[in-house]
Order: sequence, then C-alpha cells, then structure tokens
Amino acid sequence: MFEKSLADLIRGIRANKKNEASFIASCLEEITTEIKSNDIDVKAVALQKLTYLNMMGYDMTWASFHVVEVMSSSKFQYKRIGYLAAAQSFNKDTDVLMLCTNLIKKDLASNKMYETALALNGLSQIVTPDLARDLIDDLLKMMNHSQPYIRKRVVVLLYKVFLQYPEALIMSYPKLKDKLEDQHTSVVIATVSVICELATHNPRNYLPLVPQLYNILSSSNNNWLSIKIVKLFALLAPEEPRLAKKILPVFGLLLESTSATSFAYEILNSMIKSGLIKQANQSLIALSVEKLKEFIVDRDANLRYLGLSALSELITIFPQLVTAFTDIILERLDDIDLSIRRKALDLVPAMVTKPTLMPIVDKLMSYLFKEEDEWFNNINIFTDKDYRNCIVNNILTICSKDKYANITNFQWYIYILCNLAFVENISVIDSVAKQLMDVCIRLRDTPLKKFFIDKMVELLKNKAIYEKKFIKSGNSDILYVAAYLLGEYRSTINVDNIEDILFNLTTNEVKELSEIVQNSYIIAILKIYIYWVLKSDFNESSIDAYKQITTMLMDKLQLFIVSSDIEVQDRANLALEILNKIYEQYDPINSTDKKLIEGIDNLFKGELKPVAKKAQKMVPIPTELDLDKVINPESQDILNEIGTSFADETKYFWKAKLRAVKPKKVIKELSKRELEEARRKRNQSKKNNPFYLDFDEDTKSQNSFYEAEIDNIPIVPFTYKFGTLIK
Amino acid sequence: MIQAVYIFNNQGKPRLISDYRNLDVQKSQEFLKETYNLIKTRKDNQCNFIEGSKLLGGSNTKIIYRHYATLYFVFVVDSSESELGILDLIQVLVESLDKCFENVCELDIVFKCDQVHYILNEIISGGMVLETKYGEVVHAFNEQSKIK
Repeated sequence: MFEKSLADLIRGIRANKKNEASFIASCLEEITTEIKSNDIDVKAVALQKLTYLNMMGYDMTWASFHVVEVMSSSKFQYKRIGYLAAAQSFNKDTDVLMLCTNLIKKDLASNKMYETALALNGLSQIVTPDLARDLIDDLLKMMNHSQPYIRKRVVVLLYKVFLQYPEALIMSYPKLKDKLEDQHTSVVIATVSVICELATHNPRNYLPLVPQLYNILSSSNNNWLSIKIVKLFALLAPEEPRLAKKILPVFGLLLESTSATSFAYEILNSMIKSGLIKQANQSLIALSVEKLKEFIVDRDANLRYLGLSALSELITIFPQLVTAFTDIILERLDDIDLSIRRKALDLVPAMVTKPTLMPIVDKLMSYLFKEEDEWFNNINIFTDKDYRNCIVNNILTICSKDKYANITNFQWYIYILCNLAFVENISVIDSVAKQLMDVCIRLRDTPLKKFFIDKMVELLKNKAIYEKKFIKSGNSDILYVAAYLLGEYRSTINVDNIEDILFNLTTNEVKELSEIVQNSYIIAILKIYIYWVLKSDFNESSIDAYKQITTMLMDKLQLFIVSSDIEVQDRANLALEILNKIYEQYDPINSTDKKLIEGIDNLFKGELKPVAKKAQKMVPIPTELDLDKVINPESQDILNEIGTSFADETKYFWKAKLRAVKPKKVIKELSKRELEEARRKRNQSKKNNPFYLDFDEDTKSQNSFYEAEIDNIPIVPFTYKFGTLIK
Repeated sequence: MIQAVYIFNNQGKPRLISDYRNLDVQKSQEFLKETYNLIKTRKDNQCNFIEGSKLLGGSNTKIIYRHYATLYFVFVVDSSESELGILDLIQVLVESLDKCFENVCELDIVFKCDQVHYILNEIISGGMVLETKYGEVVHAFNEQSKIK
C-alpha cells in the first residue's frame, strides 16, 4: 500500500475543494491505520498529516499515545514531528503525559543541542505541575549550559514552570538574577522578559534588581531589550517613590536621543501609564507633549493610534494639557482610519470649553449628515452604527455637561436637538427626547420658550419626519415630545396658530406613527383644543370656525379609535366623548359661563418643574413630626394577626410542596368507547359554558350571539352634566 | 506574553495556528474565526491594532497584525507586550520565512506548514519571545534541517 505524504494530503485537499469534508474523512481513516503501523516512517508521516488536519479543525487528542511514540523516535526529524504534535494537542488532562517525564529527561540530557532544544520548546507548551517538579533540577543545571542557544530557552521555559510550580521560583531566583549579566544578549533578553512577566504579579520582589537593570538599559543597543526594561521600570516605579527621581532623567535623555520610534513611544507610554510623569519636571513634560504631538500627526496610522491612546491617559493625569492638543485632535476626527476617529472622538468631551463647544458640535453634526460618497472609498461610514451612535452620544454628553454649563446659545442647541431626529440609520430618539424635555422644562425665559414651542410646531409640520425610514428607526417618535410639550405649554402658543396645529395633529399620516406618539397626540389635541375654546371670544362671524374645528376633530379622532392599540383606542374614546359633550352643551357665543370649559382645562393645570436630585434633603422635617408616636393603638394586635396568618400560609405552602412530590398517577390507556364518552362530556360542558365560543356549524344557527343585530340594540341618550361634576 | 500566532489568507483559511494557551480544537477555531472577522474589513491604510474583543480576552488582549500580499500575520498578545515591538517581531518572522524559503509566497507556507512552525519556534517558545534577530533564527533553522 502506498501512503500519502503531507504534500500529497495538502494537494489532495486543494484538488477536492467541492467535497473537501469527505476527502478529509477518507484521509483520516487512512491516518488511523497508518499511525498504528510498526514502521516508524509510516507512523511519523501519519502524525505529521494529522497535525496538519488539526489546524483545520479536526480533533487529534485520540492519538496522544502515538504522539509519545513518535516523540521517542531516535531520528531527529521524527522527534520534531512528535514534539510539534504534542505542543499542539496536549493539555493538562492528557493522560499519557505521565509517560513523558523520562523521555523528556533523556532528551534534555542529550548531547545533541537541537534535541535538547526540542525538548525545552515542547516542555514550554505542555509543562504541568508534576512535570515541573520532576524536571526542575535538570533545568537548573542547564542554566549554565555552554550554549547560549540552550540557556535562553531554559530561562524562557522557567517562567512557564513557575506558573505551574511556584516553589521553583525560590529555587531558581539566584541563578535567574545571574543571567541578567550573561554575555549573550539573547539570554539577557530572555531573562528580562521573564522578570517583566513576574513583576506583573508581584513587582515589589524585583526592586533589588534596579541597579542591574539600570546598567543594562544604559548600555543596551537592542531595541526589544530596551523596551522590555522600560516596561519593567514602569511596573517597579509605583512600588518605590525614590525610583522616579533616578529614572526620569534617563528616560528624558533616551527620549530625546533615540531614533527608534517604538522605543520612544514605549518610554512615553510607560511614564504615563505608571504615573511617573507626575513627578517629571517641566522640560520633560514639554518634551513628552512635543513627542506625543509628533506621533498624533505622523503619517503612520499605528503611531497616530498609539499617540491618541497615550494622550487619553495623559489628560486624566494633567487635564489642562488637552488644550495643547485641541487642534490636532479635531483633525483626527477626519482620519482615514475609523479606529483612530473613534479614539479622537473619545477625547472630545475632555477638551470642550464654552468658546469651543459650538464649533466642535457643528463639526460633529456635519459627520452625521454627509453624503455616502463623500466618505472614503470602500468603508461606508454612513452606515457604521457604532460610529454614528458614538458621535450622537458625544454631542449629547458634551452639551449637557454640568447642566448645560457650556452652552451659551440655547436657540442653537434646540436647533441641534431637533436636527438630531433626522439622523439616518440609527435610533437616537431615547436620549434626544430626554434632553429635549429636560431643556424645555428648565427654560424660564419666555421668549426662549416661545422659540422652543415654535420649533416644536415646525417639527410637527415637517413632513420629512413622517418618512418610512424615520418611523422604522423610531426617530419619528420625537413627535411624541413635540406633541407633549405643545400640550403642556399651550399657553405659549400664539392663538392664531392653534387651528393650524390642531390640523397637523390629525393628518392621515398620524396613523403610521407609533402608539406612544398617537397617545401623546390625543392628549395634546384635547389640551390645545380646550385652551383654544377658552381663550377665543367667538361671535356670529367666527362661530363657523369653532364648529368647523370641533367637527373636524371629532371626525379625525376616528383615526385613533380604529387603532389596534388598546390604549390609543381608550384615550381616543375619552377625547371624543369630551368633545361631543362640549359640542352638545356649550354655546360659545351666548354663554358667559365658561365653567364647563374651565373645568376641563383644570384637569391639565399645574406646571412641570425640574427637581434637583438632592431636593428631598432641602425639605425641613416638621417639628411636630414624631415618628415614635403610636398612630393606632390596636396596630400591635393587627400585626400579630397578620403574623399568624402568614405562618399558616407557609404551612400551607409546605404541604403543597409535599403533595407535589407524590408520584404521578399512572395514565391508563383509554378504550375507544371511553374516549368517545369523554369527548361527548367535554362538548356538553363547553356548550353550557358561556366562556367558550363554539364555532361548530350546527350550533352557530341556534346561537343568537352570532347574528349581528346591532341595529336592534336600543340607543339610550346619555345625559350627564359636566358642570355639576366640576364645582 | 503572546497568546497566539495565526497566519491566514485573505479568505480566512488558516495557514498556521500556534496557540500558547492549550485550547481545544473547537475553541481554537472559534478564536481564529473571530480574529479573521475583526480583521477582514480593515483596509491597509488603517492601523494594525484591534482592541477589546470580548471573546479573545477583553481589554487586556490586543490583536496586532500585518498584511502581506495574500496573507495576514496575526499576534494575539496581552498588555505586557509592546505594540510596536510586536510589529517588529512580525517583521522578523516574515524576513526569516523569506530567507528560509527563498522568496516566500503563500504556497510555501501552505506546503511547508510544519517548517513554518519550526521557524516560529525559534522566535517564540511557549508564548515568550526567544529571539529577535532573524539571522539567528535562519541559522538555527537551517542547522536543524540538515540533521538526518
């Protein structure tokens, strides 16, 4: 039989793109037999193929025993296949790991360097507490191996050993410390990396290493090593206050002199993240700001991104520094990279001041209303919901900050809020509606309130908001706010505009809107209409307008009455009934008595005022209030009674529980006759039960319920004087 | 530490998975898919970092990648690694591959998947960085290939 090589397998998979799964299934079958072969050549190749298939998502844990077999091969290339397979498929629960201890021990002690390296590398992936304990002595001996190639591997492996077997750290720490002075840079790098990882867990322990690390940093010409040491200092600095004084001048010098951007960035980032920069002098801070600016405007997107990341941390330490960056942050809002834009956007709230608020918000608004094609080629920012939501939230946050402290022009802000309702592709209405309400309630200034109300009327009349896309995204729900505020602040409306408003509240488009809006509309109609009747003095010539409007409203309320939403129906009926009564009983010309109308208007009286969160505390406790006074002398008896009945109840529940665990009745098979009998009984009881609607053909004719004789239902005139109610 | 190294092509087909967290095969595939989905929509003029994938480990985990022709080289790392340092390391890996395979292309990596693992093992061991000079990497790899 001819076995496939790894290349054959890969070629086969590529040739069988259409039925890849079945091809691989047949290969796996071959592998299962090949891997059991006594011929190590066949076995190793089978394992190599299996390892490849593992990458494609096929399980290979079943072959762990064969992995050990291949690992123990004397041929280096096969051993390699074995160790790779082990690294890829073994985990702490793999049972054959116990078999590996001696095998790994033997390979570690091999006189061939690369075999030792194989074992070290394999162990770094599969080490368990048991393996670590059994092998630590061998590893410690190998730390002085003649080859730096082995030394660096041992050092790096030690960190993984510590994770599994923490006692090993104490045993090996003196030797590990010595490795910082190793003649070979790669061993030093490995040692620093390990200490860096260890210091993330427990930085204090590594403070004694500072002098050595300091020396390495000043003599290092390896970028990776320098970066790691700077990172390590960032971890150590918060543990030792005196360190800052020593290390900051070095950082300053390196920052100024280095040509490696990655190193310069790491110095900046480490100073900021560790808080070391708090202790820096003015010139170092100035230098850092300068460098950071360079990063943020660099041609390389990576540096721009990292620069903004570091900046956002820097301004949590020095908030005042943000002013130096305002312009370049704003430029980054137009970055070609969306993730950089997001970073810049996150920084915006920190840099807003009174004078900069309006230009910044206007700029942000412009992103929301740009056309698709204006955005850069393939990325469609216009539909990126996250980004757009982020902008909207940003606008709302920066404007409402400290109770709108930064807003100098409220007309402008009201305009912004109204425009936000027309943002496409996202639903912003919840937060926008909240702010609209909040702003309106807080406005004391009458002309401004008038402006606001006029803006709401405009919104109501704007046909664009009734478009399908806005209804679908929920943004047209802003009309709910408009209608509510118009109703609430009806006294601000110009009486001449009222007819127009009422007309707009009852257009045919209304029935497309959500129930929330419709509900709000009905109440607004009622409030505004009553206000209008109350304020108008009708005479012979204007009485027609009164009649016309009232009948128009009564007619249009039908729109709501047929709504499928029960609450809308309910409110519409209520409104219609009130209008009916007014129309029947109120004579606007002759009646000097407006009591009926005033009475209804009274229902809606009362001004809405903002309440501060701490308002309750400001209310003084009445001196005569005595919380210890017994209000009802019999209360104790009542409480006792409740107590006992509650006890009864728990008893009842307890019993119920007991009953529930009783074994279920065995369901016995019913014969055909019994079934028919049961069915007949059920039908009979259904017929007599008024809560069942029976749709059976023959019963239908007998049941008068189904014969609609609505015309025969007598209509009784309903007379009820509203005037008597309200006195 | 480095948590995983992936190489996959523009269609998301894995060319190498080296995961240092001992994941089972399903998890490993899931993570690869997530990584690919996060990367595939990005353009070459965007930065090479992705943060905050909840599946891969939240705010402490970063994806750092480079895109060469048809292949993505992706490192998933925790916060103790330097972003720019890792970008340089990816460069070391690619240069090593280029030297070992003489003008590496996707097909080399497809057919010599195991060799790619051996090269990577010269740079990273168990998630810890071992070597940052490609000369050393190439030398060690070539020496081992000669062993019978």
